[in-house]
Amino acid sequence: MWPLLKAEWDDNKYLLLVIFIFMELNFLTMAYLDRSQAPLVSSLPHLLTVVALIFFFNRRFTEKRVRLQQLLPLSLKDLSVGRIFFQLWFWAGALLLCGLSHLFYGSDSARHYLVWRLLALNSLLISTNAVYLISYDLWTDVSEKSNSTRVAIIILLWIYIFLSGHFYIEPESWPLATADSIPAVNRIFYFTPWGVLLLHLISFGLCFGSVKVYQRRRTYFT
Amino acid sequence: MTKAFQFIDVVKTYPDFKLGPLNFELAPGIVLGYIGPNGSGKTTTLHALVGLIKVDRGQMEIFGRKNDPNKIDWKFDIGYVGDVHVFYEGWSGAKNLKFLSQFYPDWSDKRVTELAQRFNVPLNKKAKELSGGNRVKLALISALAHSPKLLLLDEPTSGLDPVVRSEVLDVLFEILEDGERAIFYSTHILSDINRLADELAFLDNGQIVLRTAKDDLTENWRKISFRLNEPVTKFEAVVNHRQEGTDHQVISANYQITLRQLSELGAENIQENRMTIDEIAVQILKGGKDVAAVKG
Repeated sequence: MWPLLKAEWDDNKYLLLVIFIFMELNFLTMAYLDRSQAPLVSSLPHLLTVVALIFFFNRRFTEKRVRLQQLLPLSLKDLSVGRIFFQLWFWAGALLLCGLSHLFYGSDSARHYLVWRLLALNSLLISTNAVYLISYDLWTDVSEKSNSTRVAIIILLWIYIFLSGHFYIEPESWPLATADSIPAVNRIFYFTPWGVLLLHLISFGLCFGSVKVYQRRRTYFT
Repeated sequence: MTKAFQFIDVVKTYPDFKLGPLNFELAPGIVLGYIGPNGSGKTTTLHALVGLIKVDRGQMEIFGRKNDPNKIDWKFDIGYVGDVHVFYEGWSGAKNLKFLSQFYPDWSDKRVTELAQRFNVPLNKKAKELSGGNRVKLALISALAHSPKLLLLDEPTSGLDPVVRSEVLDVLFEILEDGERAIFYSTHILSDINRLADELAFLDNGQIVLRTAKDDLTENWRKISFRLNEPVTKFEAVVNHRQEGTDHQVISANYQITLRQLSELGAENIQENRMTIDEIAVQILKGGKDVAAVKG
């Protein structure tokens, strides 16, 4: 599996560097702004992270690449676990940049909630990664399941991701929530160790799901 | 003796197509041409064998080992050149080969160098900059560098212009004529495989309609014309029959049987002509299962 991970890094390193430089500029700019003064603007780096992540996925996940990997003498288990690690380059780098930027350049209020916020972001990115992989497999595979079942699963998973992202980014602006409940949800999941632990358990569960879905694919074509 | 590969009751169903049930095998050292028109299931057969698709029923074995996607030992024995040639496009040919070498214990850099020289492939060029012919050659080098016991070729020359196709085939056949490895060569162009094949399997609409030794075909199939006054409902071993008045022209899958019957019937002006392998293939694929029945 390691030669494949090395190859993926080698193939993507320049794109990753460009994305990281772009993101770092954003992180630094936002870190200067106090969250209380610019609540909407401070959400942008996180949105950009997820957008860049999906852009990165779309470039990497093509039928030819899947075929190339599938033909190698690697087991399905190695390939399916390896796919999750491919993204490690991205989110580990993004997390590090985000953390350092806020730590060294951010305002006091930014530093105050930094640790749990960053860990929560970590779980959000792992979940997005896994949900993308699951969606890709379900969407591209001609499986035994009916089309509507697959579409329903994909929609539910992305609702989870968008809600998580929404609560993470700007919980106060959620239109359906009462004034008290949203900060509570936000507080539990993104500012407490138990909440962050739960989010990580969910993200690891989704990773496990993506491994299983890949192994159950009936075809490795799109 | 362990088979190079074996299909046991393999079925793969799509909404508009069904492959199988396939039951056939390939002995080591034999070159089997897998002939069929476009859409007959040739590529699906190969995709199933190399693990790119999962079948609905049955199993496939390669040198006695099931092609289990969770195990990898069977993959060391095969070299596969598919219908699409996949590389890291931004890398040079040499870098792509270096990457692959990490996965195969029997990979030989010396063999890569030899093959690259014989194929005359510019390995320093990026994969995306290679011409169609050179991409096929690079795919062949990557399939042969670990000296697989079974080579699987899926229309490797499709999409190439005739000059490049001929060039690729010439070098390929030169390399493969050592007769040591089993080769499964799928194509709809019989002339591509005619020079190399020991046996031929004809696939039509997902079913193997005929599996035979190539020499058997060229020896036994004949175009026979004759004159016969009596009406006859059925000629033996005949797969195609045309009649104008008392003049008949038949294509026989076993000319000796047909000639014997014609002689008994008192046919006159009998003329028999050998057929090219392409002409025979057309008849077999046109006739489908009926040909297999006649041959049987």
